[in-house]
Amino acid sequence: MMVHGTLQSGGEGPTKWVKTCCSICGHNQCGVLVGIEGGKVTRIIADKDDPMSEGSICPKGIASIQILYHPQRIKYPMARDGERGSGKWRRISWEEALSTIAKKLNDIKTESGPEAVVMARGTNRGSWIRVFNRFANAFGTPNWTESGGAQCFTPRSISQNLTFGGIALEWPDLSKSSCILVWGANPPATWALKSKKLMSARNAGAKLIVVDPVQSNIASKADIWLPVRPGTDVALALGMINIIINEGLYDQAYVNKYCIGFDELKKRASEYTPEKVSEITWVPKDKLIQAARMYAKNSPASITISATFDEIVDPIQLGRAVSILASITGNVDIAGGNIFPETAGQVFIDNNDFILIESLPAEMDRKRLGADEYPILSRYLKINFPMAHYPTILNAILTGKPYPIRAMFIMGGNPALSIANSEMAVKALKSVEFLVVADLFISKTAELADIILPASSWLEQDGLVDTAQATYGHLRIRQKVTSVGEAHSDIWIMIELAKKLGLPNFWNSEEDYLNYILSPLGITFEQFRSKGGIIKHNPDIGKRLREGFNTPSKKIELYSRRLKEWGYDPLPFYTEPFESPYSTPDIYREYPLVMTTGRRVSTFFHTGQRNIPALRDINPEPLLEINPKTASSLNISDGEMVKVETPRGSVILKAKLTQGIDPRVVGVPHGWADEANDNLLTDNSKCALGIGSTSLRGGLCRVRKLSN
Amino acid sequence: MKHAVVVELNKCVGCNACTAACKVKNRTPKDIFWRRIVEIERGEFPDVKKTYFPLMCMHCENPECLKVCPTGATYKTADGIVLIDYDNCLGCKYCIVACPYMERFFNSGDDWSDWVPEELKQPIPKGVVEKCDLCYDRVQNGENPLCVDTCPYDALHFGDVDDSSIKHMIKDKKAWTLKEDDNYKPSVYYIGEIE
Repeated sequence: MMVHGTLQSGGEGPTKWVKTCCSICGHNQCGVLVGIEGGKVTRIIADKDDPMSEGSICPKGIASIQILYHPQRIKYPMARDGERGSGKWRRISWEEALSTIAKKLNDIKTESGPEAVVMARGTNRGSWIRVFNRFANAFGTPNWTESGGAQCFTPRSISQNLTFGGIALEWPDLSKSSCILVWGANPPATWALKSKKLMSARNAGAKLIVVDPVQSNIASKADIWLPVRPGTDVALALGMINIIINEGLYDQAYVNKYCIGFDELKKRASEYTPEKVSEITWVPKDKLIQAARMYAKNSPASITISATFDEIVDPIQLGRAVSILASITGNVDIAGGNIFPETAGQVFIDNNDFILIESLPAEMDRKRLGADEYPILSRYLKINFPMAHYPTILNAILTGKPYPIRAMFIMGGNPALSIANSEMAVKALKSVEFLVVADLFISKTAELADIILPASSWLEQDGLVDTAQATYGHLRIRQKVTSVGEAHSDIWIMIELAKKLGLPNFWNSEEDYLNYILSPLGITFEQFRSKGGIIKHNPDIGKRLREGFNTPSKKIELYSRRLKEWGYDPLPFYTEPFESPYSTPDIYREYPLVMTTGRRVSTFFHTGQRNIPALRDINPEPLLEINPKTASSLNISDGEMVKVETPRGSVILKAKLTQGIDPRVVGVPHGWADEANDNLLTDNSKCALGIGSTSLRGGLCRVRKLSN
Repeated sequence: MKHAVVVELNKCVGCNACTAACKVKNRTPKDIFWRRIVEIERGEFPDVKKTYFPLMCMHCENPECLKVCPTGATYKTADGIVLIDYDNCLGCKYCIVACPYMERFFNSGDDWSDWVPEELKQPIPKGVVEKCDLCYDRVQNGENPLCVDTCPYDALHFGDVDDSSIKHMIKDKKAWTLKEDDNYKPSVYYIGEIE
């Protein structure tokens, strides 16, 4: 008799368990146990004892076994063996791959200068953000960028730094919060680690307010759901600030003691009356007022945000407005509020020292593509790594202006799908003279490469989990469990390529690198491993209240003198999206629906995992979220294929009818390839003031039944 | 002794970690889910409430599937778990029709053929009916079913309905079952309302 379950694991179940950290979504890094049986990984489960993740895990982490052993994994370096994009490849050795790349890059450097080489990264497949930047600086090119870049984290980090000199909206003290405001984020789908803490607090009685155009997983659990019109979040935040000030619900003592610019703020916010804000945001006025009161009256309260803060018409203003909302209610740097997580690895070695920022010559710094137009992204605050602007890079590749770009080195990214205006991105990738891509699978970007390098998954890497979003100050270990073909970690690839290029100030091996990270602690990676691979940490809550905030005034700057000096408005203000019913009424007549792209599900991280059986089975198709009223008026039934068109392009999706979306709005999923690629709809010709973000929330579109 | 699963609906956020864990462990082929989460919406925008509702084999005390099985391939263990002996299953699908919860699936052999290495393909022969076995291998070892252990939100619980914290949970939190008025007596209980 075949008893199914026993058969599945092929015997008695895993015989050995390795403690490590998952990295399938780049930053979150849940602690997991990897079960091994007969030399094979057969199980991945949450590590309930992990001090950071406490048992959180997501479908992507669990299904990483199917990534590890996937028949389509790139197992060895390959060189193009036919036309660009022909799909014909020739296996080459690592020696040949690295020598060829090094020779080409050094030739270009000699002939055209290092700035003709673009280094573009995507997700943090392991903790190597800083290694990548160090590589770019050591090579001498100012033109490193990332698919996220101006679209993820950088804007929200800078706006918070401008306001209170650090990042506090990323990792609130959720477990002690009485009220949690989730803004433009859906942690159950995208951030398992945070989601678990959030839901624990909610189940223990914390109030929950969620701002999202779609009733997301987390919005379904909210006390108040604010279905904001995509891209109008700044008005919503200013509306809440206004209500809170007018009703005297702000923390006057806190404001007096720790903030500057309250009077100016009060004046500015007064322009955003509930009536006006409701009209702009499409959020019913009573819900807006209820939410403002609930957030202000339930102390301590915390706010948690995500990439919406980087993907609207004016991200700096949104980050500023919401930082200010947390500040005037006295919720910053207090237990149960928005606190400043310290980052283990990055506390040890200063970021700018690590990336050798000083080694890049000033004339190169000046040449950084996009820096003149988007200096907030690339120049002013050196707290985030100053980067080049992706759309400006694409433009330089296609036009040769302001100077030619001849090579691109892409790691962990898939810009053919992941950045706005895919048509332009693909054109640029096809026309750049030399393209190298490191990945696990032949992505839409890797398809176009001259050389593909086999990168490894998190199960194949030793590493240290030390990024801000993953640690809360704890330092944890990633342990290599197995290996696949000739795949290597991205860090290994950079180290070996640096050797071939003859770059100064790099490491001899991954172990050297890991030891360098740990050097301020006076221990080696192997010692850290043998001691259990965890250093716990308790954040010092209230440090800023005692010692001052890390801003020029040492206070929370509701009014930002720095923004004023740079020529921007020192106070938050609302800007209508580039394309909207109100800003472009002519387009609106042809394209009568407001669109939010970037909808996520728990089974996929960005453009990845569509070929992973367990994950694809759960979400087999790209779904357009659309209200039944709207669908009915377009003669569309649930499950029918529809065409979504914008002035730029069209995609084909399957209609998912839901009451969880405004009839005037539709939700487009992100990360699918080919005819479902949402970035065929998006625009990169207009970018956010100063920071250069493309708008992914709040364009216009029309929808029709495909068969018509 | 009777095993039961208790689902706390207000804790389920529909993340599908349980579904993925089940699919990876049991290597279920394309479109076959031994457990899944459905979304139930009530109300109209903007006053709409969504409930994530996990579904699986209910491991009934009076299983309809067992009654109609012509070969005895479907059977019930002493501790209340309904299993299938795949060697004896003819694939006649009577049980699929009979199951009041639509939690039985015919394995036609379809799989993501290019995406699954041989050693990760499901060993159950094609042409049989399959379903949740409540991780009988794990339960025999004194462990919980994998979905229960996986849930990051503690929305799922497992235990002996006659003698454990489960018993109190069912009583104190007014747990209910699907199609309660019929006499199937499912072993999967739900706590909380469909809002």
